[in-house]
Amino acid sequence: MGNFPFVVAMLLVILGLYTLLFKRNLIKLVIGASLIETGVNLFLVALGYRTAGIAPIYTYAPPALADRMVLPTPQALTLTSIVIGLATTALLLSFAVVIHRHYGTLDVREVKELKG
Amino acid sequence: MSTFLLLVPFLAVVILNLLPKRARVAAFAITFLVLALETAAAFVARFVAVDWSFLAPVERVLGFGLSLDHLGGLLLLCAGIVGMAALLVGRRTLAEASERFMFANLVLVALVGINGIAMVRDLFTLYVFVEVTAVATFILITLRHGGHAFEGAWKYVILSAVASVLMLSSVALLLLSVGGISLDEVKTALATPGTLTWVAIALFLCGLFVKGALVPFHGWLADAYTAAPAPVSVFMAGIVTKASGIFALLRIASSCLGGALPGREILLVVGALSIVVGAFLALGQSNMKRMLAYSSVSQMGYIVLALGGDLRLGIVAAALHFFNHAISKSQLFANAAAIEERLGTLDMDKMGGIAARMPVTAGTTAVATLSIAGLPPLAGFWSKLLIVMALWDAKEYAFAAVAILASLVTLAYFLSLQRRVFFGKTLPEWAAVREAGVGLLVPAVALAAITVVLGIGFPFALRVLLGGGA
Repeated sequence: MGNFPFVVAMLLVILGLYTLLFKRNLIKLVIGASLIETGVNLFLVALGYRTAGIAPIYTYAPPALADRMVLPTPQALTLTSIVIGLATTALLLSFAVVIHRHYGTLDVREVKELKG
Repeated sequence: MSTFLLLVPFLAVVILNLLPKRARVAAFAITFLVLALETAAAFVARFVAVDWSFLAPVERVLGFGLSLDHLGGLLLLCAGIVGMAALLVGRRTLAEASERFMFANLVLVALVGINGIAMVRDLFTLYVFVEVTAVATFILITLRHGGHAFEGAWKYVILSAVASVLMLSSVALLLLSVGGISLDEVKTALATPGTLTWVAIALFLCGLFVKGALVPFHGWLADAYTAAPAPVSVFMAGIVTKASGIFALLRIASSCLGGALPGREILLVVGALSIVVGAFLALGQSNMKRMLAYSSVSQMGYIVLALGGDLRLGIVAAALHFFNHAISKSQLFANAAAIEERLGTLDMDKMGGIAARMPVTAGTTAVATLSIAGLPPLAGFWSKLLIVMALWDAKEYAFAAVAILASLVTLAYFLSLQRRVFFGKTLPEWAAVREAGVGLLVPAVALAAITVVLGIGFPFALRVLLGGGA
């Protein structure tokens, strides 16, 4: 059971990659990108997890508790990457809205004015 | 010092947005001042010993474990010079006040990211600052509304999202295999490498290849540059792509790869591929900006190739080529802006004989193209010479040959640009064209002057720029 989160993270990344490579709808591409991101975030959190651990919220952790704490670094990294992911997703969605307004479609095959 | 470099642009953004609407014309002046300070900071960091201990209380709260070295100083210098050039171009070519205000703001935000990249000491912070720069750039591309802009930006954002996932998973794998993500820890781990560590490093490098638009991840670059308004393409080509992709590679190669073998081979192969593919793609373009973009792909290849050569000389060569290319390419995009402003088109097949009408633009373009193609005594010649020497020292004769032969292709596409745009008889429709305004000529002439002076005074400049690193 210990590997379960890693398997799920892997599945999410694969699903996201599949979406990015084979789907043609702009919104679906956004979903794919954020699926991959979620997968990696899950991977990070699972890395630092410790069975029956406690949350690492201390300024100065008492030594007795330090062994039972979940690792703090991966959690800090995950929080940061969630924030960055939010910014990217919001931008992508707003771009999709403008592209739809301009071209009247969400199909990437029809959004092809730039060539070369 | 390092805290200042992050705080000053950030506070400038805050101040700009607190200004009353009428005072917003000052935005350009403030941003210009910040960029001038940045250029000065690069020199201060290099030549003047300042005691920054009075900042200690601030650093305790806001410390990110950042520090500035010679390589970082070089990036600050490039960012300052290119940023000022982009602002000057923007002052002339952005018509609406709101566009100009946004431009100034976003340049400052990108500057926070670039300054961060210059000073990072661990991979996760590097990832964060690369993202800060990228998000500002996404919005910069779409500064002027229109379908093209969003299409070009879309490709960049999607590929960037993939790149950031690659970097993030690499950080996770490094936590797993090394137990730390600072550059020093990774270097120690690479001395006795395990497979997992190498997979992680390869993933991070792939992420940076996407950001730096190296073959096979170059698809977004030409679209993004073409879609962006003129000053934004100056800024992006000059510093953004280079800082977030190539400079990060420089940093990793210099402080953790240490010339170890599998990493070196990745750099050599990707570098050579980019040089050749980029050069031939540039040869086939008729849009001026697209040709310049593919030429960028090719020149970034040189920088990466140098990192695969003999380590000490390679880093010096790569850093110099980084500087030369930042200057020359941003100047060429400024020239393209001047031509677009006067002629209303960037299609080179429609131009011809512009040199007679726009002599200054033609002259500065010639300086930059010849420098990038590597003709002595311009600056580009010296850095290419050093790159070939670095490869020769590492006994990579085949790659050295690729570097030299690809120079001929570079010369070929730039001569084709000169012939189609500037030489020959002036076509009748351009008979009334006037030289671009002073606002666009000042950055072009200043940047061309840097190329010439650096080329002629090279032996001295090498010692000054890199502290006798060679």
